[in-house]
Amino acid sequence: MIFSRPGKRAASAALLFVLLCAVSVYAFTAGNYDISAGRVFAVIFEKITGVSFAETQNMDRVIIWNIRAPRVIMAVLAGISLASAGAAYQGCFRNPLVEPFILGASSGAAFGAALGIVFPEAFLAVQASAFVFSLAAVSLSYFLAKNKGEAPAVSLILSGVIVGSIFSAMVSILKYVSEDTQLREITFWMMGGLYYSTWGDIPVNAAVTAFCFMAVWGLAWKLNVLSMGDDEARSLGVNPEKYKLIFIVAATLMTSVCVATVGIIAWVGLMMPHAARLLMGPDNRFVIPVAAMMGAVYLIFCDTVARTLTPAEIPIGIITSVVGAPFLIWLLRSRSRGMFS
Amino acid sequence: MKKAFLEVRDLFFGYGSKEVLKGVSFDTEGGRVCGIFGPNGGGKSTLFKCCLNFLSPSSGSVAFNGADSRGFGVSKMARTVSYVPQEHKPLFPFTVREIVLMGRSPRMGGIFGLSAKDMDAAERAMDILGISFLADIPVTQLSGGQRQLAFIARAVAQEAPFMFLDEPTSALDFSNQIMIWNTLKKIAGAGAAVLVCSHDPNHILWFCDTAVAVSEGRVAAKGAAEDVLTGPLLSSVYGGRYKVAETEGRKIICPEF
Repeated sequence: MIFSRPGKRAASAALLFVLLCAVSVYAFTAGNYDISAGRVFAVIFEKITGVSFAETQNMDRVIIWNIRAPRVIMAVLAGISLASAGAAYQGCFRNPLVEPFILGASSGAAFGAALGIVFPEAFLAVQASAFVFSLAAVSLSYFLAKNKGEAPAVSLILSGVIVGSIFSAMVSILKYVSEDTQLREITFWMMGGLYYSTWGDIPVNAAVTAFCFMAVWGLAWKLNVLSMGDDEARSLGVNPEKYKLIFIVAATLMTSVCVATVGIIAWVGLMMPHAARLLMGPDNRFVIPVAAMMGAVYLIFCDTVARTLTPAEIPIGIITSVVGAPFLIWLLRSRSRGMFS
Repeated sequence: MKKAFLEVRDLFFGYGSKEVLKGVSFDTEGGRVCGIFGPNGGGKSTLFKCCLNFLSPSSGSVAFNGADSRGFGVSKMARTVSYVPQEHKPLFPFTVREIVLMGRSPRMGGIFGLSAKDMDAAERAMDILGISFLADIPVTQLSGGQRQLAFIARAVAQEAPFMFLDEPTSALDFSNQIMIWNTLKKIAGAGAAVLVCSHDPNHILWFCDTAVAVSEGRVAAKGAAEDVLTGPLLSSVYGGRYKVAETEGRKIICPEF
């Protein structure tokens, strides 16, 4: 733990918030078409208040408001969802290496999306079908693991692996039978990306993320107690089965909605809670909000890199993995130094 | 406050068709350290888990101050009994203070719910255990003995009339063992009913007021600790491969090679 005193906690949370604002402004200005920060503020001000500035141009308005704004907002929402879902899963499963996709949310979503892409006439929109199958995969894992009213962490993780591999196999079947353009689309979808984000995605994502995040954050103390293990949690007055289910449902809902919109973005849900713990200590009352802010910053950053690094856009999942893997290696190697449990 | 009183009556429990407890009854009360003693596989930890409501017995009852625990919800149970696990391998580096504060969970009201009263109770518990100087140290960096003290402090902060401990000293060296047992006597002295599971006959003999010996799912003996650990019981548990020595007026049971 680098900081653990309450004052330093507050200071680092405030610093992070400033960073979030700075990165957002940068994301609005950077791109194939550079726009100055002043013009960004002018357009946003105009859109929100309706009072127009002489210097705003139509081109700026379209790029800032119709293209970049939904991307930035979606990056924030996805970052919050994945990071806080990761923190919730890690506490519930008492395993710091667990990520939001552990129960098969991503492979379910991939299968749903692939179905939607390969059979566009028979299935709902790609997004809806990804969401439905993502939830279905997690529910299947949960009920497979459940025995006599209890779902022990080890069984859950195992059933998650099994369900995940079943859905991955089915994705492979779909890839095998799909046409070239469809195959390309499936592959792209699975690498994740914010390029399809539109204002139409925002309301549902924002509502689900806000609701689930507040639920997880509000119960953060119970999550601390849950991370002591089932028997201890029970003896401390926290019913492990009930609260694990609440956390899993909330975390899965936000993960599924997010995955359905932006595809599979790896590492965020695993890394951010760790990074937050290094800064704030293990108390989830601080870890969850800080991880969420870090997730938002990280995704905005990676998305901006993804669309500015090369003339063509790189899928964001590649960037998050390339940056994330070294972080995990460092984390593993520093374990012996007591930086992390 | 009324004196804490635990009654266990005719407890039966089985895993599948294998019957582990075959009618166990015993009592203990506030102010006493009661030891549950028995050979490995004799049903002592099953009995312990039934008393904690972690397992529900197939018949019989566990009553706290006359109230059957089957009617207790998770939080009522947590306000009645505090529990110290055998050996806690901490996963996340919570500080000692945070761990002790978790003992306040069953009494917290609101969402974030930590009141000044809870903070005071935690500080007091650490003070009783003499670990206030460790308050800001992560439990992952503590020695086994210090960690056990932190978990006992958590149980003290819970302010429950009953405290159950599962093999609290089995992973400790003996100066730490003696320190923990003396702490338990102090906690019992303050009025709590302390129930301890242990496989070490000497600990039961030296530190417990009363004992229940469980063997093959039945109570082999119960009563004052020195009356329980007698020749016939020890012979049946250790198959005669033990002897009783005496040093400085204190009996010690040792294995015979």
